Amino acid sequence: MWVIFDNISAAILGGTLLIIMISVQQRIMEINLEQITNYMVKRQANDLVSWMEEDLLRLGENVDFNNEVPFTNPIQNTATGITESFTFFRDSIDADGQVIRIYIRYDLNPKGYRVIRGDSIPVYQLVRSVKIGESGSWEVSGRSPALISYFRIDLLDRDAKPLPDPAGNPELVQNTRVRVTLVPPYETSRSQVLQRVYYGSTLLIPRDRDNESMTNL
Amino acid sequence: MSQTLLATLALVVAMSFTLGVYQKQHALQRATIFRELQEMAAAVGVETMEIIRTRAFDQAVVDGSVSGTPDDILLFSDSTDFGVSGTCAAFGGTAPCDDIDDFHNQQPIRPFVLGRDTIYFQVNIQVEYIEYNTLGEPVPSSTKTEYKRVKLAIQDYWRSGRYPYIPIPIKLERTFSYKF
Repeated sequence: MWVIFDNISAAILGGTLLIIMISVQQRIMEINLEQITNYMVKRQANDLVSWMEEDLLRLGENVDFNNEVPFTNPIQNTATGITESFTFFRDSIDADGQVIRIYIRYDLNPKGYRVIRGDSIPVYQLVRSVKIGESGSWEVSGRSPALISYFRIDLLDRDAKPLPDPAGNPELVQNTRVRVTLVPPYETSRSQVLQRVYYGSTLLIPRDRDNESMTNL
Repeated sequence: MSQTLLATLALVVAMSFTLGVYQKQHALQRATIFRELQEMAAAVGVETMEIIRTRAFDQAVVDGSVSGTPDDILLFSDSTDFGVSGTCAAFGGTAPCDDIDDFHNQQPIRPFVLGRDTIYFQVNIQVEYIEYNTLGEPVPSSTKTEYKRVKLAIQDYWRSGRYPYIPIPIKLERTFSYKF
């Protein structure tokens, strides 16, 4: 005991420094964890949108827009603003010239809630289903992580305004617009850098159009 | 005396280390937010470019005075006549903006809508004629050509007057050609 009392100043100082070092070390670990979490979610978001873009960029491929509409109206939830389901198709032509119609459907399924900074955020999983031919059956062909907090597909007119009834006015449709946010799978004890990871893109629908400019990339 | 000096030195070292850690955290936060805003800005840029892409190459095409031959170039607008007065209808104004060069010098504020989390971006649009030099590189042209280049500069915009997170605007360019 006498050793402590003889060196009381050094003991207080040493204790203070120790606390500082421990708290700093803990914060460094939290920073690293945040970075890894954000990177992981960003990576998952990129994977998700990569196959989604591949699908949507081929929406209506080889389809005569004058005779058929290769998509249905996206089913939007008016309360949350998210897209619950979207179905579209394209025609694949094989070497013999035979046309095979490929239908793709996105369904957003609720997967509970995630609490971030005290907010209870509903999360969803996107399920991709494919049907080959008119008489085929729907088969699941891909899922996203159950971390989607916002998902919206809009079909846009030439002013990039969402059309309320795109299937009823296919001649007005120019682009599809996708907006997705993902939440981190968990949060660190302190406030996180970002509550969500964002993604958005506007994709061209392949079809012949008159009186438009040609893109020369 | 020497103990006090050493103790003070230890505290200074510890505090500077702590400061360094929090500075690193701050830099990482800004970098993360910057990365997300870059993603959104690119999306807004592509969307704006798509609006422009759906327009005719030139007013002469809209008027129907073109014949689909190289002589059409003579009918195209002079670069000094690029732009319209007022804001394009596509950006909430009244100017029709039905060909590419009508968008020259427009500076719309475009939203990146995400439910309640709308973030706004200012898009600066420039349109110019270009030609290809002997090396095949696109260079600005002072005369009319069959190529128009649209250049977008996108930066986050805060109504509260906050400085943008994207200090140097993100650039997006696309060249459009006339279909003879």
